[in-house]
Amino acid sequence: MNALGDSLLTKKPWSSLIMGNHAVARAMLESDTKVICAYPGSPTPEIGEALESVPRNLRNFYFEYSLNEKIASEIVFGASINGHLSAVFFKSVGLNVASDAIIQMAMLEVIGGLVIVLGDDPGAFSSQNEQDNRHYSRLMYLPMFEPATPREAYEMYLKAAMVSQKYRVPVFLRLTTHVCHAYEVVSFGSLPENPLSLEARFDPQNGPYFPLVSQAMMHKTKLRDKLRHIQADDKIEKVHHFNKAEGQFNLAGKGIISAGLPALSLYETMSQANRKLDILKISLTHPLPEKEILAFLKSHEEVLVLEELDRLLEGDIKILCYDHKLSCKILAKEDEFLQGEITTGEAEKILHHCWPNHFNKPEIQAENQPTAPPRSAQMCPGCGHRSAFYAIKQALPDQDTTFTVAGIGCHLMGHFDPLNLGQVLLCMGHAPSTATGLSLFNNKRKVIAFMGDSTFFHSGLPAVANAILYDHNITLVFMDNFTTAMTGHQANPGSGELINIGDTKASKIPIQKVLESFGAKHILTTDAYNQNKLTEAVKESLEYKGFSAIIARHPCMLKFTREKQKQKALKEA
Amino acid sequence: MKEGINIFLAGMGGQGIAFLSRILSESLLKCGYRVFGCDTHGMSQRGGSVVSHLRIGDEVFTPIISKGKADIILGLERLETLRAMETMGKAGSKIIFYDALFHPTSVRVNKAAYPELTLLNGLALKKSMMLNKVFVTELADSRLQNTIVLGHLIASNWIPGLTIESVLQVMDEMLPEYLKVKNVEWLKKSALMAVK
Repeated sequence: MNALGDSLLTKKPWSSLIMGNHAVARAMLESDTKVICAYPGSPTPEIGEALESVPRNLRNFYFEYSLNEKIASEIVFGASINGHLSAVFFKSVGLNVASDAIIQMAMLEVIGGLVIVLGDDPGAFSSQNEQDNRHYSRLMYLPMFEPATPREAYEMYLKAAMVSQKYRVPVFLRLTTHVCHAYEVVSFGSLPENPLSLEARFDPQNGPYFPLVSQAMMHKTKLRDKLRHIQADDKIEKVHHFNKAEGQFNLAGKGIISAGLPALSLYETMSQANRKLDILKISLTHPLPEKEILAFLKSHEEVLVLEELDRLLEGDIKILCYDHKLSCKILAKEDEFLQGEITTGEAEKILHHCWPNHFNKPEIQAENQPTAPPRSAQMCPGCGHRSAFYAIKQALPDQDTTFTVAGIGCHLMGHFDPLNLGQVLLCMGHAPSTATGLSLFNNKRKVIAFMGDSTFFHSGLPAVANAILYDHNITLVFMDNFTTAMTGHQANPGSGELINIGDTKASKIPIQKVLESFGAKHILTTDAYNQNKLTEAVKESLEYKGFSAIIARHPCMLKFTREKQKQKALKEA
Repeated sequence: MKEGINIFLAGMGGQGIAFLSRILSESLLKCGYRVFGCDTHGMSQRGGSVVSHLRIGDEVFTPIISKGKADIILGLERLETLRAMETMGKAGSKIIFYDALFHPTSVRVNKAAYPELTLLNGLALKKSMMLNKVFVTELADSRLQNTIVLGHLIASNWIPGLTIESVLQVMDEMLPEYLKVKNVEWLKKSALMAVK
């Protein structure tokens, strides 16, 4: 067994230097979460890495990488209404995909409990946007916990599971990139020794489970009632008081309300400036812990609301002040901080802006004009995508004759110099449809779209079927590397090694056969290293009128060479 | 109370920054430090810049080192070391870097120049940083460069109480056998090299 799996299975309380994502995995085991599904996406894949490190015969849980976030959410919903505590995890934009299912299950009785672990990405370190998923907790009427550290991520997962089971409502655990990837020493509890129950516990009487039109309003009322009860439940720890101001640096009457990592940035700033201020750190950011916040507002004359990204807490708190006719002045960050992380540097600027007499203007520390040229990610040595892009480019003597549409995955790096293939990018699975739109009322330029194997099964299938059904005049190139490479080589139906099947190989779902069964008439397949053949295939496909597909395949060489090296080293040792 | 030290690690995907930060963190923990840190994950593994923040001491509240606040910079590649000096360095920063060279795409397509050593030396002089270049000609396996830098860090005595024994113990506990022998060998060698 490997070290990670070993330690995750420690029966008694223990402590370890551990990454936020791995601490969440331990919390899943301690809370006896039975069914866990996910779709890989930064910053959360290390939760899956931890779960996978537990040998299959020692697992008291079921874990799978489902084909997309919506499917993952639906599976854990099914498990939860059958009485099993369940959890799903994915990246920020994954919630867009899962939202259709989650907004509905919010109103139904998840008797086993269901935790939705979100990896949000303020600062957009590894995402195509910087969406503030706290909006979803309001849109869906769901509770949301926001930890700031690995220790809190562990503790709040346990709380989220408890609240979810008690109120039979899905609960969000919103992590952010630097909570997922931070590490510190965390003290864990013991593992439960519950006997495995295989009983069928789903009972429509536990419902509602059937959102008929005539019932929808009633279901919504019930959900809103649950939120009110959670808000009033004193057993749920919803806030944390930091730094009760004492001593000579007490900034009397001033306080701060914050949540998540920004609260720590404030703490750090104040420690460095040798200032003390009351901080109310909110753990449960939805529904808002009104009682605790009101008490804080009443005992301070000026309160800074410091949150990352959009103005949600600020608006809610201003409403509270207005409704309760409080004289407390609410301060907030400037517009420039509506995007990006609030780290210590930003906290210094905001505190100086709010209270210039107490906080000095921050010194500019970094070089004004850095000379180091950027180093963007690039395709690995031996990457089949590079070979494929080179060959495709040979078929396009004049770039002005085509439009090229990129997809999500390693092959989006074809966009960069010197290949410059892929001029537009939207989201998972968009490529065939965006390409279709570009092909309409356009007889000047051919349209080529790119799609990875994992994306094809994630959300590409309906888009491809649509293009085939209407025989749209596009050429779709499958950049098939038999794995979900970008996020760390998770399995997909093209790789034939699904983790939940055990040691036996899963049967592959070959892309070519899927296309044939959909009715595609023009499909060419080649290894991406066979550049002459691929160049010819592109030329031929561009001549074809209607939907044409090319499958350019080659195993991910990073994965391939790593496995070979490991095998070799093991043999030598 | 242990003194607070900000250690910033910089390199590129595949060079073993995460490994280096993990071994160093565990060792510092053994030496009695409180450790809080943060690695980059995700896209950076594809040959992009990789950094790791490692903060030790009792008065540390966030895992991220502020810009211009690194006390120690450990670099595994020349350009990434320059970047770290420019963004995270300050007067008095101490730097150990392995002088490995990896040209980014911007350099390969002639849109940028790869930094000469004189650029790093000049910046160190201008900003009063202590710059230590490391390069081992006889090192055959580039995957051991991170261990060489770690050996030099131990020998520098910049972190009070960080001993080679604690690092060796961590390596013994954490590394699989097939990695252990060479890492231990080069840790010892490089710590001695630095002392000479």
